[in-house]
Amino acid sequence: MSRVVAVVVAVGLIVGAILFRQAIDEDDGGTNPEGRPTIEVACAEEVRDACENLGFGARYDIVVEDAALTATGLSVPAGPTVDIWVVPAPWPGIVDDNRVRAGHEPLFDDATVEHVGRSRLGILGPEDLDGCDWRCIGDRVGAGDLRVGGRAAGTALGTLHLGALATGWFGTADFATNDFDGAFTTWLSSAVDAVATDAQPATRLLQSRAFFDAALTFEAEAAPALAAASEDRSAGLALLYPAPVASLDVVVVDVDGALDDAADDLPSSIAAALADRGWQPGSDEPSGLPRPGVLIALGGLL
Amino acid sequence: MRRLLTLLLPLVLLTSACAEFPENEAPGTDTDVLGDPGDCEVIDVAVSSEKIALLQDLAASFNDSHEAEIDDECVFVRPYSKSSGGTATALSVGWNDEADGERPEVWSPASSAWGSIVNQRLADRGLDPIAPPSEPFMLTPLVIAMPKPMADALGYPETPIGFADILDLARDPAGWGAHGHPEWGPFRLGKTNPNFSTSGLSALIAQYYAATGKTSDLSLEDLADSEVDDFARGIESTVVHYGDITPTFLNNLYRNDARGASLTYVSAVAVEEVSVISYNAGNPDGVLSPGEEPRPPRVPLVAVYPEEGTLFSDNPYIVLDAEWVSERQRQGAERFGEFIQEPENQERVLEFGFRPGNPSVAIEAPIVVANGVNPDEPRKTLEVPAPEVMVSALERWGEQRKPAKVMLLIDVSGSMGDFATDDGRTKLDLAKQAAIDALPLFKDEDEVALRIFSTDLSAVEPFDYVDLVPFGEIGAQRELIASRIRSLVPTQGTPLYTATRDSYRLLQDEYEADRINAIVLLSDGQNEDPRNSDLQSVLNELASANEGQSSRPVRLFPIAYGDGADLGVLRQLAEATNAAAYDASDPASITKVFTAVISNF
Repeated sequence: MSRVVAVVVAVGLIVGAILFRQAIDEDDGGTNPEGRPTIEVACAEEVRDACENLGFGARYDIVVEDAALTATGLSVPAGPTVDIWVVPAPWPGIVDDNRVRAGHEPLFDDATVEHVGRSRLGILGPEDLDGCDWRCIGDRVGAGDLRVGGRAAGTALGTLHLGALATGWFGTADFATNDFDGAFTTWLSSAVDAVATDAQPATRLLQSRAFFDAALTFEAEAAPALAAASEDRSAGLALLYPAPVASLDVVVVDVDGALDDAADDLPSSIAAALADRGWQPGSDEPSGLPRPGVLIALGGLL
Repeated sequence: MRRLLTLLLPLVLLTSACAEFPENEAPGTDTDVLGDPGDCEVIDVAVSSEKIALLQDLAASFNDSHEAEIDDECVFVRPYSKSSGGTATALSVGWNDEADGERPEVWSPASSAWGSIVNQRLADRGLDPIAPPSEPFMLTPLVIAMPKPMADALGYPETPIGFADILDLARDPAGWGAHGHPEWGPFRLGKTNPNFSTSGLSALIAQYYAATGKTSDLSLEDLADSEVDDFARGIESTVVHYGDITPTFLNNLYRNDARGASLTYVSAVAVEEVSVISYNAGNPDGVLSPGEEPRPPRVPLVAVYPEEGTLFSDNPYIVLDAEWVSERQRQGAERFGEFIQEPENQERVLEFGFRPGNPSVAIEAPIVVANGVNPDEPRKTLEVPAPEVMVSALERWGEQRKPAKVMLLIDVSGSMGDFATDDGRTKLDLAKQAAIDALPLFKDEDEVALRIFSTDLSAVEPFDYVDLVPFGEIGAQRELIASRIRSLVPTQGTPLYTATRDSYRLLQDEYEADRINAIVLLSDGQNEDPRNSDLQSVLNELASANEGQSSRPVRLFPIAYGDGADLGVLRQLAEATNAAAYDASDPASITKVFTAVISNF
């Protein structure tokens, strides 16, 4: 039931945000004080802090929203609603996958996607979870043995953690939808259904262990929070990276040719901002997560 | 000068934020301590009462800092106290400046559940949400506060106690006798009205969870289950009386404690952890009145952290997504939101007994075992239900709550004919309208009577009061009572003591154990009765009837109406019955106050 509620809430948020975005879009097309067209940048929630503190002033009109929301707007044939997209890596692929399935041209290729930061997916939880891989995590959560908080399954990060759990079941990221069977579906559903939805699970856990025992998170988010937490709040907690290790890769996507024009310094600025916040340099090495089409299918199982 | 104000403010707040009951202040009346905003753009912040002193303290610091300057212009953050439920209602139905006070740009209810309720109620009307998800800036868990000897008798903390255990105790006819203490009488449960109080709302949710045996996924189907309904009605039947806010209970408990009788007033009451800390420090309502010094009670309270889990009051800071919030106000509000999360300001949160939302600040004194609380608890939380489930729970509570038997005792002395507004309406005009507006708040099964009083109102005995409508279920006589109220006119003097005493005797004679028995007394003057000026004998009679295990408690809730009312005497009368007096010295506040009073039933 909590899964249904979470999905309904997520859909509600997305629909509401789409309406909000439409209102913004209807009001765009302006220029900045230098007389140059304002560049529309959509940033995913995971990189909110880096985007909001770029300090580019009026050159950019920055909107921070969940990647799933931006993806919804880009997946339809009406045309790009943003110029540049700063987002976890699978999402451009998810957009193109959606577009191709709907009979439209893909929007992106390697030339339009630049990797600017990487951070390991992890779990902030009891130290004795060390050595528990994603399969073990899923087992314990599904059995009610471990109370876990995480983002809603339909959000960008929720989707990635879903992929990490599934990778734990199969022991590899190289699996396809035809590998899905009843046992897997039941296992994944019971685990995801038991996750308490929270927009800031790592913070919530550090506020009180009463909320849950562990939080699904990523290194750049949880490591600084854990380091800053008072001793009484952090005692007994560790930031762990279950096997198979998977990463959250952030990419800057040139949606509308803006990177060739007035925004060519944006990727390096974003990369620097992410580095300042504990992210590793961007990498196009495999992330350890399933392919975009498989991620879409995983979401469809819930 | 503003620096001086900052230094003085904590002292000023402690002495000025002492309205009769913190959640009853008229909006705006408690903001003067912040000074004049001058040319700065004001950002009004509606906050729940328990944190008004803290928020005004922080606002004073913020307003005095460079953080309050945006593009060479300034903003001025102005928190004022308004109950979470009251603000939720006003935002849901459309804000009325006259009745509701300044329309806020920011809202900090005690729990984010209220934001969900507002959004759900707006959605039910086809309107957009205005309370976006927001981060908490401090937390305090719902606990079951019990006098320490009672918690000891139940074996706490070695023996875990849950909501289900408390509810079983409350329904056990053997009462405390089943635990070796018959001298404590029945198990008495205190609850606040969930439409106004966050503790009440959280306790209601916990009660439903206890009824279903669940800790998450409470559903509409669960609420509609007949066994759950029976369980809820059974629990409500054990309630001493409802309160609009928890300080009502804690003040009464503290007064009883002073004379060694705290164990016979209430056995357990659902409150926030911060309230236990304040009570044990000798400051039961969390606000020190002028001249009051905190004195620890003889019998301290213990915070019982329910075994099944509990809910947190998470105190979100919500910048409203509403058309009346300007861009500058939004920027200023976000600045203030960041300001209150800074570690040095979160230290101040801790000083007030709340758990800081910023994890970099340790949870330490005053949240320590010596103060009756445990920083290592709670271990589990109950899931906050979906918004539509909470709205439904509130609607069902209106039917399940303990029925009441209430006499409306209204002063129609000559002074009620004084003008109260610029448009020529008298105090009586305003009171009549407020009383009529409050009638729908009673449920149909409540028995309500209407009695008016003034000297020599009748040519035959009793001379000083007249029963206009006798007791009967209000569902059958709501319009009759309203029509009688409409016809009231001001007459003579104020026979306050006789009217109160005789009405009290009537309720004692006609006492019904399965109802909350109470009098709502509205008076604007002092006792003017040559036949009875003996206050002490009235107080003695009221107090004696409320004591002992076999007492027939009748609660007297006076409303001190207008600046001529004898608030001191009315407070004594209320306290003699373990009830509460309400201050409506500003006649314009009478509608709000009447609503608050009726929330006790």
